[in-house]
Amino acid sequence: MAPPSALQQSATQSDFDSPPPLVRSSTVPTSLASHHSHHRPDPSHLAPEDAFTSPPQRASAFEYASNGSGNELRPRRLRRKDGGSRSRSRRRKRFQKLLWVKQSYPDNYTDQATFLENLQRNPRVQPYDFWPLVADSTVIVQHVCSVICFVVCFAGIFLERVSPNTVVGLGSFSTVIGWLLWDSWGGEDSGDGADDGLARSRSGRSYRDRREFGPPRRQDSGLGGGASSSHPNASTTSISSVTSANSSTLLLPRHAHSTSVTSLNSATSQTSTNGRRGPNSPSPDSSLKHRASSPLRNSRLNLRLATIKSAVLIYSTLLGLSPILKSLTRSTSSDSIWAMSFWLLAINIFFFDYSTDINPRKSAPVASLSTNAALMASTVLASRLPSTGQVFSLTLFSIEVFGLFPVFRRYARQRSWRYHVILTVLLVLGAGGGVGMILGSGWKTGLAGMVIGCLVSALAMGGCSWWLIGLQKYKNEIYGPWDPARPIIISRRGWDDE
Amino acid sequence: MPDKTRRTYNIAMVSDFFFPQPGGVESHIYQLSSKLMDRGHKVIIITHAYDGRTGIRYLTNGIKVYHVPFLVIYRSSTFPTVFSFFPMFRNIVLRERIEIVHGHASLSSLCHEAILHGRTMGLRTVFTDHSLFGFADAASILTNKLLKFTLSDVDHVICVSHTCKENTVLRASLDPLMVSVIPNAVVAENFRPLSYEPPSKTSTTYNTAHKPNNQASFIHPNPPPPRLHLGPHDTITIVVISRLFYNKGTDLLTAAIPRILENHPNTRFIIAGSGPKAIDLEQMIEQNVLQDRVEMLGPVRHEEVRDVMVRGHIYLHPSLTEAFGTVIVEAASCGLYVVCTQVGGIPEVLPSHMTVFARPEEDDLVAATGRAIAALRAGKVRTELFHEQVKSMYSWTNVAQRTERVYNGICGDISEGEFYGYEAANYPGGNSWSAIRGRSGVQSFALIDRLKRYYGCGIWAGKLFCLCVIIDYLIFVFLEIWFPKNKIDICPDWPRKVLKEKDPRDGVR
Amino acid sequence: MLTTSPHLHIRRPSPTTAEFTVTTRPQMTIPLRLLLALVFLTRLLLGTAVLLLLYSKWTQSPYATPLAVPPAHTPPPLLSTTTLLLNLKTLLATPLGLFLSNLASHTPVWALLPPCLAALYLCLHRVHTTESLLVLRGLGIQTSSTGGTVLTGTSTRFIPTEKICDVLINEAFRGFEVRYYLVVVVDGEEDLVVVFPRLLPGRKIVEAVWRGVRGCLCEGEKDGHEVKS
Repeated sequence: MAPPSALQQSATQSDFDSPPPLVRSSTVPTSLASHHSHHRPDPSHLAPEDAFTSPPQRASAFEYASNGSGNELRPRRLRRKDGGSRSRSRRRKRFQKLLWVKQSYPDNYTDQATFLENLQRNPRVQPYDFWPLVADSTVIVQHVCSVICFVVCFAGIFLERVSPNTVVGLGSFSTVIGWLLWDSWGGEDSGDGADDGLARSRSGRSYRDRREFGPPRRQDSGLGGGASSSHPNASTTSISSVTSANSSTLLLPRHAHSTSVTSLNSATSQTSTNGRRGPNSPSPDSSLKHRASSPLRNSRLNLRLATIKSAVLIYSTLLGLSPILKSLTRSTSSDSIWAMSFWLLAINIFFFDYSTDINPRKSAPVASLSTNAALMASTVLASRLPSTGQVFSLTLFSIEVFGLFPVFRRYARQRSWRYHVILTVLLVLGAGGGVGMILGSGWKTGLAGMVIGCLVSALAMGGCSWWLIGLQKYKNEIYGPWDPARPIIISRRGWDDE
Repeated sequence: MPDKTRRTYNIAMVSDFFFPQPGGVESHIYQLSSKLMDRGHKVIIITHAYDGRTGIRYLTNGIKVYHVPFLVIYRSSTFPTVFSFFPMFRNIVLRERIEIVHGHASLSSLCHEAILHGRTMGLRTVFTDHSLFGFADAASILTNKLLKFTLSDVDHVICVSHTCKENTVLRASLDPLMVSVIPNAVVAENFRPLSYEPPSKTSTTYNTAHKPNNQASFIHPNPPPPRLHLGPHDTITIVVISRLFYNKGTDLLTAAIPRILENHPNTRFIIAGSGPKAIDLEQMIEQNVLQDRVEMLGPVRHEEVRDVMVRGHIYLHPSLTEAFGTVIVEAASCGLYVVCTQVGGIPEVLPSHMTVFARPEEDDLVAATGRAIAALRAGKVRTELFHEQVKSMYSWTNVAQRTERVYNGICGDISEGEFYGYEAANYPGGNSWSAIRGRSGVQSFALIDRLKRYYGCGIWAGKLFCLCVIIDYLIFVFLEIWFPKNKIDICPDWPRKVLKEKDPRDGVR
Repeated sequence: MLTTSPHLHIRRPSPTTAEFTVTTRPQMTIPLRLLLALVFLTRLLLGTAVLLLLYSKWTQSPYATPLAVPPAHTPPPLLSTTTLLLNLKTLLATPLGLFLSNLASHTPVWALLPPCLAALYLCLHRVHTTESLLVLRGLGIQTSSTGGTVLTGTSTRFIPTEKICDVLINEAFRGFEVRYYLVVVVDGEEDLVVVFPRLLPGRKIVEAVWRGVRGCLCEGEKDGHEVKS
């Protein structure tokens, strides 16, 4: 019989280097709390070590049980005195965690050394730190504040304190500024990406290498202005053929499911890919080797033109729709509208995609639910307004706030931490001040609102972070060999380029 | 009865999963039951009604199967009504004079109900767990809670591998000592290599399995079969038989096959099984133009598995989770060299000279298959000896013997010291710890003790479980009044077999 | 008290004939006979009262046609509906009849009908159930079973020998329990014929009947087989 040592080694050394503390479990589930590694709480419970403890320890345990706990005791039934001695004499060979070996141990023998040796508790949990947590919570604060800003603007228009033209003018102005900013960033980024890819292809590494080691960046995603942000194909249409082919193969293997087809295409037909991808690509037959910068600039221009085109399209569509929207909910009472828009905005806040990844393909499936809820809320709110102009400006504003602004915020955060902080502070101030002005009557209340807003958000961020850190002690994740393994498949669908 | 010391039991196996549905649990129950029948016990099987299988039936060697009419909701699991099974169950138990209720499979609600009612009626209960569960997703959490409920008051639990034991102990917060590890087995006669002439027919199944264990495990009554030689240009066939699901590692397989075939020119694959991932495999074959080197057989019946296996030299098992992995034992029994992923209970199943282990990674799987092919070509592996070795490692007779020891232990027929493994002889006349603990020998049936066990299941769950148990007890009292015991006919027993055994040792190790 | 649990009577008028009767009728004694007579009387009275009640309700309803009273000097023929109706009318004029019509006028139809029907069923319900199996060697088997009410008669079925494939005992789920029952497998029929279908006696009786039937039907074959199902 072959020695099982090799197997044993490979099993024990598998991937867990530090043996976790032995978890003691017992039939009485109250002792579940004893997962914490304090001393044995109740000696009448059996631990794995009891399987072969020496007599003195057992005696003390018995004394304890009979003195203190007052549990029901009953005489030990001894049918066969020789059972113990026989089993003792049997225990000579080492216990092995193998099924095919005929072992000299009973089936219910629990070996202290090997039982649950591969158990991992909270292996992937890294403790949260306070300040990073607070910093991360700014994303939520930003979104909540922008929703508040929107509501404030609506209230202002509804109460006729603010002219709708001001609102929409300011909003559109900021949108244009934001778009210009984003455009300049995007230009820098995709320039980098192209250079990067160029350098790699010049260095003569194979395609597979690049796929494995390439940076997992998707800088050139589809923030194609107005409509294209919700359009998943924007990334491929808007970017130059070279970068898109490159970037789609630069994916990490873990989200290869969604992109397998593209990577397949790009890999199989390296030369003809560019023609198939991106119908507006100006140089369809430019191969990967010839990466001129002119198609890039051309495509940027195209992209801008497309953005402006879609912006104009949306603008005119809204203009046409506004009279219809105005009379949309005339037969519904205002109370229902308020309640409905409250719930819709709540849905927006709760289902918003707060992830900081700017890759639109990975966005959570409920993110579209969030956006849709917000747009519906704005629509029903707008239908309460009396004039067509007001309706138009509120709807346009809502598209800017809920459709475009989140994308910009995400980019700003990605771009620079300072922008992010400035944006957060501005939003908090704006939301606080707006609420103050709507509730009160003038600049004074607005200022007070700003102060209160700052205080409340600081308290909420700090308090929630602290609370979350406090909750971490209840975390008890258990991993072990029984969990389904996560297969590591590197060359998924990659066989065809070998 | 052959002698005074050996006691036979009336056992009811309860599970939602039984024939005509194919599967591992189903054949486990059948094989275990028939071997227990051979050992002189009376075994009945309680399952739910299948299409075309209703009422009460007898299987070949006198196993009685009750197909209880019940609503099936999902993948032949019955609807979990906590109490509705009780009247019927009580009737069956009384008319068959059942002493031990043995439930199988943690997804079977019939089994959980039977264990609960069995305890209420004062029967001994055993539960066999066949599968592994995680702790993370919602479905697992719910199943684990249910399992905890049932296993709070079970006499003993049997798991099919050590990994499965660890998992069950954690899931149900059990005492490890009341969990036994008794592996599955294979019917080695059904999985013979192609060129295999059976040894002299004189040795019966009992004798091979009851060989004194100290002896060497591998006994060749006749000279070992000739070595098989594989030259460097002979074609090596790799067999894969599995349902093509994600958790069976079909993705790994799809990724690895082209690379293996590229690295090793004289190899081919035979893939049997069906499932949602079959289309991926077919796509892979078409993309790589591997139609002549990969053969997809589609679903095969369990009887045909051996015929497929003996066509190959290597068995590849890329599963991602597995409690035991009976199929790799079957493959080894057919004389195949086994390449398998190192997950779940698989590393415990076969000795290292029969297997090549791989991590569940594509590269490692390819490398491991490469090692296996190289070893086969070099003639380092004596695959022709595997069958005899597997036959001596795993037999259902042995499983039945070990299960019988569990029955003896929970019924108090062997002393708790011997059963639970502590040195009872050191405490002459001493008291053991309390009976509430459950695992000390025989569990108390008193309602208050049972309630104590259930109460600890959780803040809310504990109270809910207690409520369920109390209602169950009230139903029991009602049934005792409404359907009195003496009105229930007692079934005649199937003539019991007498076990021909030289030394009826109860603790067969 | 009036009934017992099903018990078996075996009658063997000749060596080739056997009748197995399963009945809930207890041994007849004088007190039991008296009691049964009392029960019969009570049921008769109750039935009449219920019918009267229903009749009075009918007369009060708008659908009823007023009784055309014939001239008093010419009594109608004795056996005619008019006589019957007249008698009913006189009956309704008695104190009991008055009470009943009073009751009928004060109770709505929906409240009156179900109790009346239940009472009628109670009156018509058979106290004892008797089912029997007659075995005639060479001829066949006749099963008979009394109906549920007095109005329905005894249903019998004769199965000739050449159509009988087998007589056996089976088990089946019935309600919340598993019961033994005796079946006759008839050639060319999809369904089995269940013997004693209403009483479904316990295993002891069924087994005794089964042995007897086997013994009587196939003489010479030893009837000490194990119960097969």
